Amino acid sequence: MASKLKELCDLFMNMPYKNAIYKFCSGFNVKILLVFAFLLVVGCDLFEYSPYQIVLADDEKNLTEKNLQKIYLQTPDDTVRIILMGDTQRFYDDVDDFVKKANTLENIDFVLHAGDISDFGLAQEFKWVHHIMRKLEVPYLTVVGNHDLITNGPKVYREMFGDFNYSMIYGGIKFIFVNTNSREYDFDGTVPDLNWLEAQLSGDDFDRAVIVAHIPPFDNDFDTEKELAFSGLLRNSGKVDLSLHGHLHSFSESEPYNDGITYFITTAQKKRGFALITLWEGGKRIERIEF
Amino acid sequence: MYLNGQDSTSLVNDTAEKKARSFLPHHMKVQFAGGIGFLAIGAGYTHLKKKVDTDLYFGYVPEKIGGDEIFSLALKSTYSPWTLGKPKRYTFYPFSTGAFINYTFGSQFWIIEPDRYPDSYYGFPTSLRIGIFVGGRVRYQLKNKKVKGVGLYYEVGTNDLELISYIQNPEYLSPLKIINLSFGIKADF
Repeated sequence: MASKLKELCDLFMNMPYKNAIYKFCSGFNVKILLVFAFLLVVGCDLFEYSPYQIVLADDEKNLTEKNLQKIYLQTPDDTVRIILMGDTQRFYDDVDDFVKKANTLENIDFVLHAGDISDFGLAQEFKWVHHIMRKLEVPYLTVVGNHDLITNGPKVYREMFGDFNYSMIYGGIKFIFVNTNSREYDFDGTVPDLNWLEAQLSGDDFDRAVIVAHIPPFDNDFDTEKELAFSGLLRNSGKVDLSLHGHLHSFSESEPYNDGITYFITTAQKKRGFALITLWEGGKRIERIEF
Repeated sequence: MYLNGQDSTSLVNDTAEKKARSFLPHHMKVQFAGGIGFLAIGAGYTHLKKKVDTDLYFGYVPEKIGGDEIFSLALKSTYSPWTLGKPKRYTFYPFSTGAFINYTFGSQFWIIEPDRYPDSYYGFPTSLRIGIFVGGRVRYQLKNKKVKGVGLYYEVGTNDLELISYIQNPEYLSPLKIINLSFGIKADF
């Protein structure tokens, strides 16, 4: 076997095209050729080793942390204005139009993506969405959706964005991003992480909290055994007045537990809509915008 | 008709050898990229008047290169209808086209949706991807009995998901954003 391999190698080494390649290379400016090849490889993702590969550029990594840093540098006034959108999935043309529309709105503090960034959990899909969303004039934050958790999605999301559960305090309001995609974990009791949520809600460095989660607690993709515990935590904290979601691909606003907490669901990008949410002390306004 | 013992034995041996030989792959290939591995090693047959190659590739992506260690199997057919001029020592196949189905190993992928989902929740098998491509090939005839020729090929292709994405998003996406390039070598026996 080894000798056969060697035979084959020798055959290759003695090929006449070795000279041809040498001539070809010396004829061109090899450096220019190499730079060109490098640009092709890096610039256009020219080589794909697997549809499920996770090959990211530096500006495609750790985006949650980077965008949080940008948001912390902003100085909030007494009114916080945010855009809630979600379910970008496979609708890049619509997302592109969303960004154009969002950039015409003034005094936006940041954009919230309610999850299902990708459709099949592919790094390529996450990258395309990010390449569009980075054209926003304000930073954007995401929460993980069920479509982002299939195939290699969990790994891609962690590397590109970061933790599935995280929070931020901005203008006295704590925004709590929590993974509620229980079905992806076969309802094993780990998702949503209620211990984590309880700890997040119990701090005293904020007076108001807003929840951002892909699947609303009353949907059957949310662990039904945790639904009442989840909504109970929100109510008992005395700080939450708004819970923001996606997943259902149409707008809806309700108070399903009659406890003064509004559950708002934004529509999918395919349906070309998003919500403009204005928060001020003691009040809020939610406008549905179509583009 | 009379056959002496020796002749009939050699006849049997001949047929057996021919039969055995016809099951041996006609060629082997090693491919770089193209969605079936960082490197994929394949073997297969040439059929339909030597115009079609059908190969089974085993592909590997190291974690350092692809962000995750990935193993896959691909069944691929390549149709090369024309040669440039008469085949000589060098034979140019200016145009090839074909398709492959790629199976990715791993518990995070499925053909049939796991029980946790209601019927057709996602509605597609994540472990199977279909790819299509066009390309070209050159073959160099060797004066060797075991390896009759070696060749180089290139392909430009895409997969089903990226193609669907482009069809649905012709404004943002472009052919350049969904295609990828691959190279391979072929040794035929």
